[in-house]
Amino acid sequence: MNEKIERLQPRLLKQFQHILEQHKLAHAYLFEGARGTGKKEIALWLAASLLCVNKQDGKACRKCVNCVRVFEHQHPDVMEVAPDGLSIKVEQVRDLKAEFVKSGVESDQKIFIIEDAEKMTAGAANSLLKFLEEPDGKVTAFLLTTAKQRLLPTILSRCQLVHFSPLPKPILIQELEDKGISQNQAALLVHLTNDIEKAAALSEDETFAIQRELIWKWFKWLTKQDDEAFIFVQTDLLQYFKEREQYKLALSLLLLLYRDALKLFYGQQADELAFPRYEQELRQFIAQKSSKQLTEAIEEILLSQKKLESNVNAQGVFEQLAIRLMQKLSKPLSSLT
Amino acid sequence: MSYQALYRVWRPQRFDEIAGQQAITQTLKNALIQGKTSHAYLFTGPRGTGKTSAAKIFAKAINCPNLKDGEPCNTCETCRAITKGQLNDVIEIDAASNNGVEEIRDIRDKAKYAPTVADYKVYIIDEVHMLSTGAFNALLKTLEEPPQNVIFILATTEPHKIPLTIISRTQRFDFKRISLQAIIARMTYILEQEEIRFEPESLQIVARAAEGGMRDALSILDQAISYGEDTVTVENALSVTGSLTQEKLIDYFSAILHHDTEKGLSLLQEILAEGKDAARFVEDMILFSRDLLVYQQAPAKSEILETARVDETFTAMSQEISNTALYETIKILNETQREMKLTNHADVYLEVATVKLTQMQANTASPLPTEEKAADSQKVQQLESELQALKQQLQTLSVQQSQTTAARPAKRAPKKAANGAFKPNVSAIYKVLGVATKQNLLQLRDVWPDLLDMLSVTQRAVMKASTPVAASPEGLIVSFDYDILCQKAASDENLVQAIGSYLNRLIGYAPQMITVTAEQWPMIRSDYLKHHKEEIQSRTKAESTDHPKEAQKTASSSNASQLESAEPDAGWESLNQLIPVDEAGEEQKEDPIVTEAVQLFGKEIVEVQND
Ligand SMILES: [Zn+2]
Ligand SMILES: [Zn+2]
Repeated sequence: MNEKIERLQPRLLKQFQHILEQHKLAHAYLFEGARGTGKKEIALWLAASLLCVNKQDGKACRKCVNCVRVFEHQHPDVMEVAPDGLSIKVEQVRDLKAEFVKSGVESDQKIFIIEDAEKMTAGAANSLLKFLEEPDGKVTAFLLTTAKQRLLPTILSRCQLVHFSPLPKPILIQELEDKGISQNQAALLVHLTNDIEKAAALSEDETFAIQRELIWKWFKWLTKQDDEAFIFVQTDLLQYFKEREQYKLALSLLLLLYRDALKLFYGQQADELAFPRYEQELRQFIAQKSSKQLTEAIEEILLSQKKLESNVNAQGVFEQLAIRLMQKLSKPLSSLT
Repeated sequence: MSYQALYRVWRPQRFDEIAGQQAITQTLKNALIQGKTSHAYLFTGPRGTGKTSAAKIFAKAINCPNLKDGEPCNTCETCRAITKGQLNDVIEIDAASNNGVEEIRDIRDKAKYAPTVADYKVYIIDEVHMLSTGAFNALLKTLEEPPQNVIFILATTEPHKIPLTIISRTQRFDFKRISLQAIIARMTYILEQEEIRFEPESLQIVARAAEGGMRDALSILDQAISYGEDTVTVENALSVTGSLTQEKLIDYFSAILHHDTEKGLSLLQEILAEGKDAARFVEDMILFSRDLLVYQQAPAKSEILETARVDETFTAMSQEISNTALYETIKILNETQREMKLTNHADVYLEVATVKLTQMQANTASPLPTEEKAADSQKVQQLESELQALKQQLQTLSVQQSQTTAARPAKRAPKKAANGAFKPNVSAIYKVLGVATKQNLLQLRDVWPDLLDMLSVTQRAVMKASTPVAASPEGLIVSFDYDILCQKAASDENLVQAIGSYLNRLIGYAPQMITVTAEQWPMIRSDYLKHHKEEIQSRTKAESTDHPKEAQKTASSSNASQLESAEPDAGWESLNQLIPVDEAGEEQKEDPIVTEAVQLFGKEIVEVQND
């Protein structure tokens, strides 16, 4: 376990070891960073460090009965809360609080870990406020999030914020290649996730391979400004991208293609691309494009992402995007004074 | 032992200890002294600005038998019980957890009874915006017929969610974001009391990141303390807040100033790779832009700067960059900040912003308008009025300061190039290559589609299969896929003239177009590179302290790297080995060999220009 933390967050590990040695662990933390960056692992390790019966310089021994139960999610004084469906509801926070009014089952130290904290409803978040500020008894809170900007400022200001940066992409790529994944594939995967396991799973997913090909096809239709790009949404895309997460994936893949084009435009290294396999084609693509056209295309896709987030009908979003991308990329805006 | 957060230990116990809200606390004290308190208050304002603290102090003061100058004594039994939250007559309600009608009815029923111990019953309802409609109605009834000796204090960060009928029955106080100075003063006091050492600049960094909230400031301070060994250091403050050093900010600004998109993007990548927070980066940049603006207009008033440290590079930057550019920068960053709010693609937004910022004057004076989102318009308005206020502030500041304007590009008079019958004009091409820059090329490639669009139909047909392959401030090399079109373009004076004048409109200067066929170009380029490689090597000993003059300045980023955008070949590769300038990150720039090569190349440029 420590090995994993050591690999993912060596700097944070040191920092928290220092904090534990000084007995300066705060009562509320917000761990913020992409998936697969070790937030949960550090939270559990800190929880174990608080409960361990055989602390070593303030740190968890990982062997005692308490440590073992914490890591196996079995300790009664460590409560883990995760979204129930799409959100964390006010009842869940209420249950949590009720649990903590009781004295610790085995000690007076209690820990709660809230995953995807940004998914708390307004009610849930607000009802957590007072509790975060003045928890009854010895309570330590770890809120984990991938999108801290979606949390209430009043929650943020009650927590110590710790940023979890992802592993550098070259290292992730190397790790994936060590698992026998091709370089081309690895380059794309690390642009979609920081989670090695998730990336490895994706690499074996046949649907994903088809989806990737489809987006490339779509990109080519769009480049040719062929009406087919519009029709393609219904005839092909939506056959393979079928729900919210997949719609988002489709746009992310397309976004990465235009972003690669922009990177090539500005002479960045080919090894930073998500699609090194299409480098030659992308170079041809940018030959007649301006950076303004490329950034506008990227902005169109980002805007479509937002539309999806607010639950606009996916087919509509894709079709509109196709039209607008073809407009943007064909007609340079020359509306000069 | 569990560690007590500073903001809990140092919660203000007297009105005087509430930082940065003097107007409000003075009014409250006066009311207490004169016995003219209201029966319902509404405290609004951003998080961490002292609303709840003020409410509790008020509850103590109105009940304290030893009230002095409007402040509670904090030593009597009543005061102490209230501090501990143990006095039955002071009831704190968290509206977020008790937002139903039942709870408020309950309050109504109980409020009827006189206080048991204290003189006044005080209900403090926190997060009052969370009450349900029914609960608000029940509350309204209570406020309409206020019971004797009962005071309601409602606190909220979101006053727009409170019904007007409620607001109109309260005395309202709007708590402001706390100023940097006030936050720093309070932190200094606390650190001195706690006997913790600190580097003064570190408090500046913490206070800035707190964005006007005292609780935020103390949370960040706590964290900075926990990272170190009994001293708050600048390094730990930067690490906790994810802020950038001034050096990095200046680097990024010079990329903007020199329209060096590539540099801007690689800096951005470096910053994000260090784990810096994207939102903090934008915020830092905005504040820094403001400081540059302020300093530009009133260098004598450096004490009003929010974040910047006035040193040589800062002063130089403030003289080089135009205020128009700074206003545009702030505008683009504000838009980016708004867009980034609800996305997981912060890095992509920043890349787009970097392109826009570095292309600012290259395309048009003002950047692309982006679609406004109704939901965010309030925020935008706020920012715009802030910007407006800043403009006014600047106007009223000392007027006599001599104004510095943007460094203008040197005169762009195109040289006469012999343009006879078609045949690649190698000497003209060499001349362009001698001072070619990547920025010039990118700028031209950027506007190329726009340019084609402006041409007549027949002209466009000629130019359709053309691509700019190298450019300097005065010359432009265009490669053509078809020999016949190349011939045509070179001999068509009207076309050459039209391109010149359209380019002048698009980018503000008119480089002379020199044509070459796609077939010839690689050879000419490779010859040039070989030739120069030899020259460079033969000159390694010759050192020059001469600085390139204005005209060369734009070229100084190496004319070699612009060639890289075409297909690599042997000539390019050999030069690339010698001068890996632009592709190299910062670390390589510090490599003495590279620096030497750059200097050399700079010198080379000077000599070619002079003959
Ligand atoms: Zn243990
Ligand atoms: Zn008293």
